Amino acid sequence: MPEAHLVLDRLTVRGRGQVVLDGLTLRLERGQTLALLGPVGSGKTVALLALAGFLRPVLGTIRLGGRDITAAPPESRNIAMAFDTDALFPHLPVIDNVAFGLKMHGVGRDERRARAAATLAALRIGPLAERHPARLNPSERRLVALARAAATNPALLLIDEPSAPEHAAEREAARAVLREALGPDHTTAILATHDRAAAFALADRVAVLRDGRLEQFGTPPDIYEQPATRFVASFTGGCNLLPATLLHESGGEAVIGINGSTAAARCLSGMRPGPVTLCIRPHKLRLDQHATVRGTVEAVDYQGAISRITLRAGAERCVAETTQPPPGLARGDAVVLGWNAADSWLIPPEAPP
Amino acid sequence: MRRRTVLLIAVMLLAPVAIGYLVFFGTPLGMLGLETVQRHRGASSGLALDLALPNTYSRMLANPVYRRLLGETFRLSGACALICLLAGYPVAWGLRLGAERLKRGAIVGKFAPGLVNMLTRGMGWMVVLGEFGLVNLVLRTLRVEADLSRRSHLLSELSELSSMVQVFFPFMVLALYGALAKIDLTLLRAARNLGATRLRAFFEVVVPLSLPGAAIGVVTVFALATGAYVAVATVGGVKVRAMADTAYAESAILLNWQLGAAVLAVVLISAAVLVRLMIAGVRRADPALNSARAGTTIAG
Repeated sequence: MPEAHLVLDRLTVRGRGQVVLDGLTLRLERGQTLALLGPVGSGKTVALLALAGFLRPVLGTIRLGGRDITAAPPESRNIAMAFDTDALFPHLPVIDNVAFGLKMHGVGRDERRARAAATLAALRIGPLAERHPARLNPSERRLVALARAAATNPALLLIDEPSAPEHAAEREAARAVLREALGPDHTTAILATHDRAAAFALADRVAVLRDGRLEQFGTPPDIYEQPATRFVASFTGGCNLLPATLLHESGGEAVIGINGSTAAARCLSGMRPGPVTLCIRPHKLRLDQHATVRGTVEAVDYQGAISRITLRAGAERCVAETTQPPPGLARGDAVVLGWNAADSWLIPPEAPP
Repeated sequence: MRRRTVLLIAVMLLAPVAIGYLVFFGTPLGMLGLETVQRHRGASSGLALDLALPNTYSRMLANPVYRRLLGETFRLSGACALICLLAGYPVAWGLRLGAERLKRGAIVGKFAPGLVNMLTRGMGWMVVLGEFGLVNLVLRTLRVEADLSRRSHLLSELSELSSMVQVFFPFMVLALYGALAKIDLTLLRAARNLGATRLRAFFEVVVPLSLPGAAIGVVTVFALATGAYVAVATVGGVKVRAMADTAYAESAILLNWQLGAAVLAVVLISAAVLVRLMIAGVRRADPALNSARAGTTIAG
């Protein structure tokens, strides 16, 4: 089997006496988009800077296109990066910003300007060509930063998304920008983001990072439907996490004990019996009669498209989201909670750190 | 209403300095100007007005000696500014990249020579460049040709330049540092990421972005160097007579106040014109830079 386009092997980076990236191992095929998903300080940017050659790993290797580039200087890696601060050259108009990489690669003035113009046109920001960065709005700047990185046609495109808190509409716009930038020609790309929707929508593979460690690596459905840890489950969207006991498991079908009765659930095959965490997404939690868990309604939030119902079941609090709330449901009502076994997932107990 | 208040405060803040300038700089300057257009009456003429056509200027500019002196002054000042610029970039860039403690130490170190009295500093150069000075000692030790090592290097353009550079260097470094400190270092990463070597990134990004600082540095050093003459008198001696020095000699030694004043006036006006041209040159070279950071451009 040929080697993957990008291979990271136990990549470890130290910064200020701390391990900021701890043994990151993953592989990415040509043309795939990987999302590094994690909160601020999880090591996403560190990983990108190590890939770009600005942080020297203390351990591990980076192989790109079959070549070991772990110690190569940044300018010879053919890896282009869109920085989280955009880092546009303030003294150059947009067109020369975008043509900068081509200039460094010895492309003549006319050709590089033509190619930069084509890149701008592909991102539908052609009219900005002669403007200076100081006269762009944030989303225009972002597009130019992405265009500049993509213009050199790099072997790997790194995109560090700004982690400033944004409104939903702004996040939506940022996703649209990214979709344009990743474009139809499928550059191999790594996107560092804290926006799970962007990661799920744009990436072929998602790597969830926490405190410099890889928590889980897989396709977006893998990550969402079969989270490996409680952290992955909650960081990738709301999730009900209920303590349960695995009684019996066979081929990924499990019988669990929860709240004094038994229920069916899914899990990794070969999971050992014992305490587990039952994970059910709020929109998969049902209020019906074929139920195992009894609960009390604490609040009903009508949100238009959905209603969000907060429940207490024993010592735990759960959230159910439904498009059709039972009419007349109110605080204090007793309900029974149910789920399809196929919509549940068991998370093994975590070793204490 | 509020804008007017702000304006008033600004005027009040500026007033003391403005008045000081007017009294201690403007008055002598005005008298100097008057002096050059007054009928010559030997020694100091005071304020008695007796205006004549300023034939002092035509007399002076017709004299090839003064023309050569004027050229020499600007050539030396220009060379000094250029040397400071070239030597200043690495230093200022090093300071920009360096640690905080290093920065403080280096800035104090650079200004240390400035704290020494000018004459004392001149004497210091004698110790280094004199006939039995440090340079010749090294030359003799290396057995360089006798002719060169026996001579005093004091009364030469080279010695003069050295001392001027020493004095004015910190001004250049500070001007450059001010510009470099504003540069986001991520821009360098961006440049290298796009395929630029360290050196290329410096010339493509750092140099254009620090151009306003470089211009301020060059203009400052040039103007200061033009006006410098005490150091010149001590180190350069009479062989390399710079213009300001000549003005001093004309007025203080030969008591030809009128010609001295004219010489100074010519230096002042032509320096002002040159400085103005330099600023205009930088503006034209990079209009984008100036429009982009209108607030931080050259403040003359």
